[in-house]
Amino acid sequence: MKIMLNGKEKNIDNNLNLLSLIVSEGINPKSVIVEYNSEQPPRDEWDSIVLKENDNIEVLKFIVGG
Amino acid sequence: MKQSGMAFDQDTILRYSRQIILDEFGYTGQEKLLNSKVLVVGTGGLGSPALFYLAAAGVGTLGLADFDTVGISNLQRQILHFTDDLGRKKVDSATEKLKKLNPDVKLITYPNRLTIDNVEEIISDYDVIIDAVDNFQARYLISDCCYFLKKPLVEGAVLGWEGILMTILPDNQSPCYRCLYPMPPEDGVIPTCSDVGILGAVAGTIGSLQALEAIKLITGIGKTLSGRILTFDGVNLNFREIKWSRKSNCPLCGNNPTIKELVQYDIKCKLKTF
Repeated sequence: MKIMLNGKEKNIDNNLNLLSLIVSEGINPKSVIVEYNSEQPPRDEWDSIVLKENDNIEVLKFIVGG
Repeated sequence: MKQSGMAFDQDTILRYSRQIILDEFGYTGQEKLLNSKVLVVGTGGLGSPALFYLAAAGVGTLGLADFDTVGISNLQRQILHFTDDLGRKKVDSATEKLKKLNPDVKLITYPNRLTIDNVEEIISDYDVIIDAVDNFQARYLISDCCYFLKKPLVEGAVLGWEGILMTILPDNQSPCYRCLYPMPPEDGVIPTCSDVGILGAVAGTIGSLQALEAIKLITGIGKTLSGRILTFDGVNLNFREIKWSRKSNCPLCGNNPTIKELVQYDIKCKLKTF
């Protein structure tokens, strides 16, 4: 199944949830925010969101330096 | 080229001639810049290039806010400050350079830390705010205050080889800072520039874009970044634009806001090791 992750097409297994995707990318979920199809679902819901074909996911770091 | 109502002397016309002849800019654009007031919070890696370009372009009044002093580890990126400035207040070091660059610009300095008690008074005097600070506590204070006071805000931030840019308009439609970062991260999960480093040219890229957005906001030229997020990856030289919209569950501008006044988050300073 194809999804878009940070602007790039990615093939993932069926029934993968949003939290598992982030963890499988080697990212600490607490260190990022996630835009899921242009919405920001609350963190405690990430593991209950099962990814669908063509989902658009943006994982953004907290960048606050200057 | 359309002459405006303002009388420009010959030196002024020559100084700004290369931008006055730009399509859409003209004398009208220059007059708007000369009459504008921009606040830059932070005179470091982002604030330095932003201030240089805004002063050079002839922004009439520039506010500079920074409580810090110049340290030697600042000099590889904070290009307003020179080796001779070590130990000086950054706002003093910065105003000296900017005055030499363009004596026409009025410079106002705020040498104290921005807090919940002074931020509104400072921001309310300006037309456009540039956030160039290095911590999220100040970013929430500045961006919440701009939301409440309906001031346009140009947010830029950098870390490592990466940067991010947002232009936030007080138009009741476009997203605010908390539509991206609703709440601060948990303690200890995000690194800072002193943890993972930052390259000067990366900060320079984002700081220059902040100045560009401010100039467009003042002159009304072109299309701002509002409603989009720009991310910059300097190590692979990749700019990416992300469509960005207002969130109905945003704690500040959403349907049921939980943040109705300014919030001062604790500043848990890490000991600076260098």
